[in-house]
Amino acid sequence: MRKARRFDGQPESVAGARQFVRDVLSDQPRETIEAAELMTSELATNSVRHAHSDFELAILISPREIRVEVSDHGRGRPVPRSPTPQEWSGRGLQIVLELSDEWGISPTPTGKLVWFTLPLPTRSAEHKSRSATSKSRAPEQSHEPVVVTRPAADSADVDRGLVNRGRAALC
Amino acid sequence: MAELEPERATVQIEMHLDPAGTQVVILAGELDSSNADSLQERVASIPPQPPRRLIFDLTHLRFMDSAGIAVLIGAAKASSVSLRNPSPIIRRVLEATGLSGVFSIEP
Repeated sequence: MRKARRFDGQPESVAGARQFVRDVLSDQPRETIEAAELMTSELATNSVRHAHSDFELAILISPREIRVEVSDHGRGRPVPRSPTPQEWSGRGLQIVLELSDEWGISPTPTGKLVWFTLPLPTRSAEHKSRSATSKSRAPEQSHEPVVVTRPAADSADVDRGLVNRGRAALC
Repeated sequence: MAELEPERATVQIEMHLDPAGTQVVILAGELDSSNADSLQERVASIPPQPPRRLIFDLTHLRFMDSAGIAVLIGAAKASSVSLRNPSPIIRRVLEATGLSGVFSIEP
């Protein structure tokens, strides 16, 4: 199932994006809804604040996972930072990589698409195990965020080997 | 064509001194980049009388993202900041981003 909506590039649109997430995921566990809502808020805010762009929010629910995509017309490639505890800003993508199962950035013909996944409850135990493993990966085994070179909306299975998993992407 | 979106975040901010003389900032609603400045202005208006301690009561704050967290971090530069009843997702974010030590979490 795929549900999508386009939003104006205004700061006020971010609340509407969160409402859309809550509505589409209303049958999911509270923890899943809240994590998806928070990460969507961060990505939508990035579209509005940094790309100065309207954005499309798409939510795909498969038997295995929930995938949320935020696409805008910005050409810049967001990079997660590791701000010190004293720094005020720069935590949006850090939150995404900490809370998501996987996430990634893809160029599109008109800009870019940033996406993340969350495991569905029936597979949460397995995903948590895998996530914990990837987050303890040694820095030299990790990789930079990889740009998938085509729209990722229908390629979740194909690009799985190229995506970022949890904190390893920061190292 | 982008749709007009009527939803917008609203945050309610109430401030008072508790019986011990500690400034309490009670937040309700949703706090994000569209309204974090209003909280920032209210926090900045608090007189800097040392030793300054601030309590942010988050019991009724339904949502907060990194824009709100940024204001709390800013407040913690000048004050000892306690967060009262943060939601499970906020607790999780604070731990995951290494911010747990910046605030006192109550309870």
